[in-house]
Amino acid sequence: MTTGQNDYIVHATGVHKTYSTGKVTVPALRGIDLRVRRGEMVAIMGPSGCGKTTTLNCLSGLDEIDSGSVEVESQLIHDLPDDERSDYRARRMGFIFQLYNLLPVLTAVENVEMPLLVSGASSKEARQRALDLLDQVGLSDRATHLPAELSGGQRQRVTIARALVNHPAIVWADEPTGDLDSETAQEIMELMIRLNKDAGETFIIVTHSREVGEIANRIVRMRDGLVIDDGLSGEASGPDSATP
Amino acid sequence: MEELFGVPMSVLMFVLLGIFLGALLVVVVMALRNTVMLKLGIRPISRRPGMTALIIIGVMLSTIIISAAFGTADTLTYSIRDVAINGLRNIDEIIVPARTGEGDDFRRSFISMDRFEQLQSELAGDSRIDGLMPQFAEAVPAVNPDENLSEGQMNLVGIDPAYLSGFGNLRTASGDDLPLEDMADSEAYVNERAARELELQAGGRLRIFVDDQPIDLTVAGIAENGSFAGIQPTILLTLSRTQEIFGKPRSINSISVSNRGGALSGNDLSEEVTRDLRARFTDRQVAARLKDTLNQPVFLDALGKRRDDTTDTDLKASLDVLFLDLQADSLNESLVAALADSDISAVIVDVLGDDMREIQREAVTLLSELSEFLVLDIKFDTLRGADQAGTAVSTFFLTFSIFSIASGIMLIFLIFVLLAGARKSEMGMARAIGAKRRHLVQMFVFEGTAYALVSAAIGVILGLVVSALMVGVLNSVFAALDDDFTLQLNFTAPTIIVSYCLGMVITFATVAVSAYRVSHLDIVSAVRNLPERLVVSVPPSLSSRLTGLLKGIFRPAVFLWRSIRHVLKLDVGPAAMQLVLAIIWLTLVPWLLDVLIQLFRLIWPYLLRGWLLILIGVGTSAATLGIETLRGWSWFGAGVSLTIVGIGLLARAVFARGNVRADVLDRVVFTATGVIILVFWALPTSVFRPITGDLGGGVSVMFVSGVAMVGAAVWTVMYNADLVLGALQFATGRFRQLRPVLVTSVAYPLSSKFRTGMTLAMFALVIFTLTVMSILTQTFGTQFVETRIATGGWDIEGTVNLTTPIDDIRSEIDGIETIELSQFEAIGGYIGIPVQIREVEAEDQEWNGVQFRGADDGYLHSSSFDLKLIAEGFGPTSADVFAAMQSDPTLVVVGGSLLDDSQDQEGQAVARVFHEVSYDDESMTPIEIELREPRTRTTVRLKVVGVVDRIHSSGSGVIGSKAAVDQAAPFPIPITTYQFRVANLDESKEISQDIERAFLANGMQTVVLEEAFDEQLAATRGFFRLFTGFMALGLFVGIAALGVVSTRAVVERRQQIGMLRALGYRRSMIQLSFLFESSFVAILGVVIGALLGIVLAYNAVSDIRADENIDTISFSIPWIQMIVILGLTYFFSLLATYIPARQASKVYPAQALRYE
Ligand SMILES: Nc1ncnc2c1ncn2[C@@H]1O[C@H](COP(=O)(O)OP(=O)(O)O)[C@@H](O)[C@H]1O
Ligand SMILES: [Mg+2]
Repeated sequence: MTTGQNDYIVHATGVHKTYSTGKVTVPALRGIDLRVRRGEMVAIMGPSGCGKTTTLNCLSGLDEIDSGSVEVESQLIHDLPDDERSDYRARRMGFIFQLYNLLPVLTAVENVEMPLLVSGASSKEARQRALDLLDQVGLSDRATHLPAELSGGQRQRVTIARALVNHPAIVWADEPTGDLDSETAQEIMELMIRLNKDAGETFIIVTHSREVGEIANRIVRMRDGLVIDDGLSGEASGPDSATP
Repeated sequence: MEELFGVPMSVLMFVLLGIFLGALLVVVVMALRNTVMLKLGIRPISRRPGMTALIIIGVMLSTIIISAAFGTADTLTYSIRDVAINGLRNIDEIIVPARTGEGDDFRRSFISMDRFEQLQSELAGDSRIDGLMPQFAEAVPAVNPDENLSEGQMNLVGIDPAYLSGFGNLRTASGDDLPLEDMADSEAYVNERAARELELQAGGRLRIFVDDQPIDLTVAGIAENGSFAGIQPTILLTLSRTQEIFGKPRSINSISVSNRGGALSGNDLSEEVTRDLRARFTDRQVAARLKDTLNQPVFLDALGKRRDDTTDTDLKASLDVLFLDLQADSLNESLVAALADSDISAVIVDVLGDDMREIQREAVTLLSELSEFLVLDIKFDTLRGADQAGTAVSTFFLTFSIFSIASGIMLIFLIFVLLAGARKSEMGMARAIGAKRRHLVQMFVFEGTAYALVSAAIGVILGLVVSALMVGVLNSVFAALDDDFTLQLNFTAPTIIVSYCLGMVITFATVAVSAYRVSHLDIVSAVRNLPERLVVSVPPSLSSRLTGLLKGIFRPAVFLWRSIRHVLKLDVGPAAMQLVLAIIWLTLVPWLLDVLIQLFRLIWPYLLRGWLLILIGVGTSAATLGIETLRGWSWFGAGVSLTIVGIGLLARAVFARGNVRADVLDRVVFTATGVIILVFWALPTSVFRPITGDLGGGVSVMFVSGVAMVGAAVWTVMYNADLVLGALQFATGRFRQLRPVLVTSVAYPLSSKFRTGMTLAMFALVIFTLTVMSILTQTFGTQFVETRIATGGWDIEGTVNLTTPIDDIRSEIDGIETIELSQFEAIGGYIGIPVQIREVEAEDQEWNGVQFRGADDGYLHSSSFDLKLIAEGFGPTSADVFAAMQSDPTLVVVGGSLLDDSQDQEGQAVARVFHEVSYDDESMTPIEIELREPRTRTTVRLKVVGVVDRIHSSGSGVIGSKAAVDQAAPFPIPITTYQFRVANLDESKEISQDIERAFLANGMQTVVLEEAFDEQLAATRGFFRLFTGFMALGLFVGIAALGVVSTRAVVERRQQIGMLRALGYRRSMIQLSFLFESSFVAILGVVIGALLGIVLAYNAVSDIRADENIDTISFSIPWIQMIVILGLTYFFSLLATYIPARQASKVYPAQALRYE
């Protein structure tokens, strides 16, 4: 796979995003520049309300931007029409949110295989791959349980399995451990690191937790809609150099 | 409209109004005491106008149906009453001769003017009567020679101007008097109807025929319809002129009576005046003989027993008096009055059972000779008929829309359950921070009440609009029938109030139930917003259930006691509230429901274990088989179904002890139960006949089996829906794009089985009834027998006036230029006489009224009636029997309907006349009967030697030779009905018109039988269609339900939709998912309903075919109509979901996922 003129999988420059609700306008992003290399695990940290979620949504193409540009795998993602962007998400992206990740009416394995079905895999393949991933996250015995029948940690593991099921290029995670106790959070983080190492997927994780941040290759710090530290001390700090 | 399901409208109105106002008062008191909850409750109404509108529409649907049914009934009642009041005006009763006397002829008996004048002076002092009119009425052929228009049977009424007081003068439509006294002999008045039909104008010419002689008259004026001018085409003359024309000086044939008061108020005296007149006309000698006949220990014993058994207190008192009077030394006046009372004489005949055959024979004869005159309480009767018609119509419509109303109630329930769902976390929070359970209920009730108040009002208005539309359709059906009756739109206050309150109370009760359910949400699951799972609650202990029942029984007392306690504490508000509750409970309905619910709770655990259900089920079935009054397929089937469910539950309880997996066990048991019940109801009842005997059928079977089959089918499908999903996925395997959409669109409805099952059941039930109705319309709205076969081989029927019969029709036709004998294959004639018959040998010696067709040889020779049964020695062919009847006038054949309890063409029940032989028998022996003409009391003995096949719809009654009655009657009997079989069927229409013209002077009126049948069928189909349309209102309920569910789902699933979008669902996929979801419910409901409807209709048609023994009744499905109904249903279902589906597709993932 070529990476075009540079080898960044995500390349955002000058992204602006302003929310306007009636009379009040909230400038959520005020010119974000961010570059992420393939296979990196980046943690985005900052105080509540500084624009982390907005950044994630804008960079992944879930949300529109006002100005600037976002290239994902050398594609200007906001130039794609809605349907194509949807298809792109189905094939190349995985998402993990803090809450509301799973469809309550589907079993664990049905939830996990959903992205595969959306991108057109056959039922059989999809089921097999979904069971594999559930196995990898240690939940093969819970495959037919509904989300309501699982603990918070288990649900998040199902979500991770789902995020990885279609071999995505990038996994976006917005406070994936925010709703969990610290012990479970630790487990989930370890799981993500393991999977990041094994499969080489890129992880972009928004988090509050210092521990999570420390595990990542690099930490991007934000404040008031700006990146104040992109974690690249010096000019060339790739994934290799960031690993201790 | 007088009553509904046996409850008088006024009582219904007050009870409903009471409940409504009481409930409203409770809500208002609650609201005033807790304005915070009121605000919270009604806040969402203005916040979400779209949702509010949708809810109001959903809630008002059942009110629309109720109010439409009532409005139509009101209109019908009013229109018939209008006929009675404006048609009869001051005429309240009519007196006609009951026996024949000197100078009478066939069917006409006269009263002499002397007798009238005597009566007039006798009644002069009676202040209740303000008018008596001697009348001479006759039907004559009439012609307008200038326009060449004719009317074969025009009424001619002669009245005496001297007696007009009390009735009001004759008037024109514009109110001018039409003085009768100075009318010349050559002049006549005609009524508006006659003027319209013959295009007559004042000053124009009018010709009538009497005894074949033309009489020319000049129209002196046109009288307003009604009163003596009647509502049929009528000519009015003075009495003396009429008597002169007919050669009957000082004779009249009826006396009209006007009670004191106007057209309507006169009716108040009707019962009293009728009773007294009847007593006055009772023959004392006959009464004395009747007294002697009845004054015997066997009869008195039986009468005493009946008196003791009867629950009707008025009747009890009357029978008590009768009992003593019969044993008195001499005939007294109260006995005379009692014997003249038709209610009492009916009881007497009824009490004279099988063991008193001789007494019965004699008493029945004496009773028929008891009176000199018959007193017809015509206005009273018509007015009562109007009320009964209204009641019948509303009952009919409501019965047939019961599924729609039930669906409407389910929809209301669904709406409020959904609303509750929407408030789940909110309410959970409220509970968590300490709001009491009742606060939640209150909040919910406030919201519900607001919706109910508005939607019931809109519903009533729209319902009346619907009924106006239906009246329009009905009027066009009447117009096509050539009938003069038109419905005039009219709605009365009580029905509007009852509709409103009924709609309101239904909604209110549903809100209360759903509020209760919501308030019992468990806090944890409410806060976590988890999908509701089937709650497996532990039943309360036996003692608490028992106290529950006791409390239920004494509930009003408890309320009263609490109210008193509050009063003592000077807490006025709560005191008033408890008092109101007590009053509401004392209206009995809520109390009864309360006690029933408590009772149900008491036995619920035992029901769940199965054995109690089995006991109840078996008991019910056994009772319906064993006890005569309870016999009926519906109850039997219900019992069997309960037993099947009970066995299932018991099996589950037994196997649960073994090591079977619970979910597998449940699936096996519940699926088996559902399937077995389904099969049981789907089988034709004849399968079970060897065990059950004939349990009868009727409309109720359709409802009960509909509910049972649809319930069982929905249950089975919902329990195995995952298999349905599997099948669907397999079927769509090739369309990869669709697969994820399919997964979500089936998973959602299956995750809330209760909600889905209910929506499914609504659709299925309504489609079920529509399917059954459509198929029955198709089957019975088409002729299943060729006209010529049904009529016994005849094409044209002509009737002539009694007074102007034709001597020898064949020779007359021969002499007429316009028609030739060669145009006919056969001509026959007969006289139809209402007679009474009884079997000589039968135990029951009551007379049964039937029609006797006294036919000439032509008719007997050429009719081609097939005989279902031929008496031994008279066969072997039907022709043999008819030949024998020509040579021996004492031989007759009877219609098949006399061998069964059946219905005549107007749908009136006709009791079985012959008990010795039944229609399905293989053979019969001749049956001796007595036949009596009721007015002359001429009795002849005849022998029944055959039974006419029911395929001949015109072959009912008794058919025999006219000679049989000729010999016995004191005067010659004319032939009035002619039947023609034409050589060329295509010429029927012209020939019939030619016959009419040729025999104008005889008052000949003809119909082409084929056309008459067609018109009848067209009308039948018209009514059926109207009906189907009315029932289709229920479909809106199902469609609205889908709309509500989808709209709700968009809100409920915002985050999930966002999630799916993040996973790569396109907008179109979200939209499609919603549409598929509705389709899943709509298609499944439509398919279940249609299939089961076809099964039931098939069984019904086969049953009727077997019962009626008409092989040509064929089952056929109106495919086009069905496809249109089902297609439209599906289309509108999609439409109702389309808007919410679009909204869903516009959900913006980044926003949705933020929502907390
Ligand atoms: N839909 C919205 N409308 C208006 N303001 C919003 C909206 N969503 C987010 N914001 C504002 O944008 C800013 C950034 O929010 P967010 O990206 O969620 O912050 P973080 O994830 O860092 O807590 C905040 O001030 C928030 O209030
Ligand atoms: Mg955030």
